[in-house]
Formats: sequence, C-alpha cells, structure tokens
Amino acid sequence: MEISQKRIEDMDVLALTGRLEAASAKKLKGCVDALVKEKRVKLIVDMAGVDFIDSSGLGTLVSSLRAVNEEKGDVKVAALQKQVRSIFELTRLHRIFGIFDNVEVARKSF
Amino acid sequence: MGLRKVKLIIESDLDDVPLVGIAVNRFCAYADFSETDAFNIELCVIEAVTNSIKHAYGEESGHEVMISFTLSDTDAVFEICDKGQPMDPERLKKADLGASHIEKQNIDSVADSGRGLGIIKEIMDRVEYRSEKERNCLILKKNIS
Repeated sequence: MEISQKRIEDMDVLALTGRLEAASAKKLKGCVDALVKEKRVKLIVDMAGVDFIDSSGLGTLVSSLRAVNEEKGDVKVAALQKQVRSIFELTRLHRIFGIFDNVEVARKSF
Repeated sequence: MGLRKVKLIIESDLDDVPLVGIAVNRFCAYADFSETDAFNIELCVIEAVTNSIKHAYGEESGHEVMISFTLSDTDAVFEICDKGQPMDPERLKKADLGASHIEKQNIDSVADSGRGLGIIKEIMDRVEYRSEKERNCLILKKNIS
C-alpha cells in the first residue's frame, strides 16, 4: 500500500492506494503516530484507492481515531469503494467515523 | 462441475498474505460467486491466514500456512491450516463482531482488534476448527446459491 501525504490548511490528507491489511496497516499506524506526535490531529484518510480492507486495517483506523480524539482532533474517512464501505457497515464502524463522498466534503466538515 | 481443488502454501510472513487473497478472489470468480461474495470470501480467508501467522506462529517467520480451496456443485470450502500454537476453540464459539455497543460517544470501548473471527462467522455459512496431530485447521464453507 502506498501513502501520499498532503497538507491543506491545518488538515493532513493521507491518500492510500492498494490493500489496507495486516502488513500495510503498520505503515499507516507509523504515519499517524508521527503526525499525532507533532499535534497534527485533523486527519482525512482518502480511501479512493483502497480496494481491500481487513480487520487489521479497520483496527488501525480505530486506534488512529482514538489517538487523535485524545488531542481533540478527528479522523474523517473519504471516498470509500463499495465493497470496503460494506465492511465498515458490517462491523458497524461507520457509526464512529465521519464518512464522506470525497476529500473536499470531508475537509469542509472540520 | 466435478470437484476442483487448489492447494497453496505460504511462508508465515504477513507480506505474503495478499497473494493468497488474490488467488482466492480469482478462484471465487471461476466459481461464479458474485463480486461481493468474492470480496467477502477473500476477506475471510485473509483473516484466517493472518490469525495463523499472528497467533499460531506469533509472527515468527520460517513456518508454513497451508491453504486449500475445494469447489463442488453445492459449495466452496476453504481450509487454512498451520502447525503452530492451537487456538482455544472457545474463542471461535464466543467470537462476534462486538458491534452492538459501537457508538461515537464510547470510542474508548471500541476494540482495535479481535474482529476477524466475528467477520468470518458473519459471512461464511459454516465455520469449523480442528486441531489434531499438531495441525490446526480452520474450515470455512460458503454455499453456492
């Protein structure tokens, strides 16, 4: 999985491409941990390029959300592909994440 | 269609798990599962293989995870086997998605991990665990409708 990072005003957009699963989730966790350390806690995860997610990937998003919440921040999830979205819904995790059609709408929600 | 069977062996390395996923997805397409079913079955097999590597082998490299796919006229069966630490069968019995209490206001009680078996039980039509002769197998069955 590739992660490209972009700063928009006081927000950080992490655009993911590929499969978000056990091996790649560690990479995302490292990226979020580094941002939280710098108190950059308004995160948008652009999932348009993610075509597969497993419970490890979901778990990393949950731990990221908890970490930024502790610093009064939030994680917004943007542009979920249909099958990936269905797994958020199956596990009910759509109830704890703000999920938006695209990065622009997610950005405006902060 | 007669019985069709494929066997794969991977090293206990999380970086190799996506290869199994891709193979499962193609197998499901061959078996005429819908795109959604193929995605969901791939997810279940990935969860099982990841559990073998993480829990049975403690993420130690140099071990093997054996995966077989068997297709009949009525169902597809996926066996994921390892020779590591057996799982307590109670874990499978008790596994669920833990989803009933998930709300934004109680994020602290939402678990980071432990959803894999719950997902498998939710998606698959039958799930069995066998541990005998130092070989542990999770057997997942999906009916062909």
